[in-house]
Amino acid sequence: MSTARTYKRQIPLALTFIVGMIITFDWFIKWEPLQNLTTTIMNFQIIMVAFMMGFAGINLVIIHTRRIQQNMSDNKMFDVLLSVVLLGCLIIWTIAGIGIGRNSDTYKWLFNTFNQPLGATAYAATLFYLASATYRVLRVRSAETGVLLLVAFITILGNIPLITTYVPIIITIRTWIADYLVKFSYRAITIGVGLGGIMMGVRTLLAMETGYLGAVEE
Amino acid sequence: MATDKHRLETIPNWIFFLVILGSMAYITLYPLGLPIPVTQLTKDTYAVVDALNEGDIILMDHGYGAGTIASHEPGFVVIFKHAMEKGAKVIMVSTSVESPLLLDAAIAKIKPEAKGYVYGEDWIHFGYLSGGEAAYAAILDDITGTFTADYEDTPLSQLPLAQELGSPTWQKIALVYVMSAGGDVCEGWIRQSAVRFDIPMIQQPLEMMVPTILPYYPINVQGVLNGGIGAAEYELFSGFPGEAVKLSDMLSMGGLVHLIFLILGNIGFFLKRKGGA
Repeated sequence: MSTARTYKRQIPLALTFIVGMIITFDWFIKWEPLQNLTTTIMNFQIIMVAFMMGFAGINLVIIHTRRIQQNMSDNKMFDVLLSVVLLGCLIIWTIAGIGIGRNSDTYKWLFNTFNQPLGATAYAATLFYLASATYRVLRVRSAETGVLLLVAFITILGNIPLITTYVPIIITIRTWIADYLVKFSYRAITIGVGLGGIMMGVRTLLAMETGYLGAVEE
Repeated sequence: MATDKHRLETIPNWIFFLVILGSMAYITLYPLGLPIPVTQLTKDTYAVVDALNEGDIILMDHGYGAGTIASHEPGFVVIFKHAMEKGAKVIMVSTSVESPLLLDAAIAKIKPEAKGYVYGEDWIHFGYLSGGEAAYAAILDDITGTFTADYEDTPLSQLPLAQELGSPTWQKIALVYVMSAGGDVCEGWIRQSAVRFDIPMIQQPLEMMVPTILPYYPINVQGVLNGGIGAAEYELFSGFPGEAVKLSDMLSMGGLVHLIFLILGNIGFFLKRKGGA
């Protein structure tokens, strides 16, 4: 067995097995040293995720720098502008966050003036399109779509305080749908997904599932 | 005539948007004060918070973003007020990057200091934590080992409430309250808090996400606040009327217009089919 193969395959598999077993045992065994070890591993994962976010930022800079060069040679100036705006915002926010401080008035001003209204607008616009999509798609084309439309109607009606006040039976029907149709069908799906997750976990721990290692030379 | 029938099911987007926007703007300017019935989900949520005793600690995942302020902030405000009324202490974490920056506006509406609440002694904001479900687990295992300072960078050693928490943190938590637009966040907290440690939990997902939480109610999640509508119900039921009650007229109007368009679309579709078009 080559050294490269050991580094690339056996060590990650061994780490996965050890960490997976520690986390699994911690769920069932309440033993303080094990709990402390689990907390350390959890904290390590939190740091890793934070690192990944920073890495994603750097990746974004690299991708858009290349894109600007490519689009400039193709004379796609609007696409260049979009990438420049993105990179500009990234630089400004980074300087404001790290240089001036995330609790500074400048950073809060930037957030309240740009992020907050833009975020709210984007979300509201999505909802407008969602409503428009339901208007165009929800048609009684068959018995099945009829049932779908009926349930959608009751759900929407149940979310309108004006209707539920004067037609309280809507709440009863909606609750019945939620209790007997949604709850149990979703529970069945969740249990199925959970069982699938357990199988996947066991396969990963036993090194039968190695896709997460990426392409490793055999 | 056939063209007119077609028009009912192909109303242009700009008309659709204009009618919804116009009707919601009108009802905002001229509110009708439409009644709001209180559902069992909201009553159960209220009961869980009302059962808190003085000194109990409630862990809040202040996890909403700028896009869902209207759905989440009123619920957060009213539940925080109710918790203060009960004398409970509040610790907050944020699992959304944006939410710490939205907290100032919400706290300005809550006014904890008016109730004699002192920051660091009665409530703390720990700030954002990345890591998803592993982060929730770490918070519940040992919050003082996970965070070294609060959101304002005050060392936890200077905050008496943080010292009170220690390790294991979950033993000191009387209630977990999760407000998030993300289904993975809501279900992650259920797995790490309610399933693992059997801590009482209430959740406030978006209206459209409520069906995904209902399978866990009332076993793992004892109360579910149905987004902004649930918040309006809670405000009325708890006697702390706020912004959600004002917004409920708009929700009613938006929903009604949406329904009317759905009906018109189907009438157009039927007429077209009947005409053999």
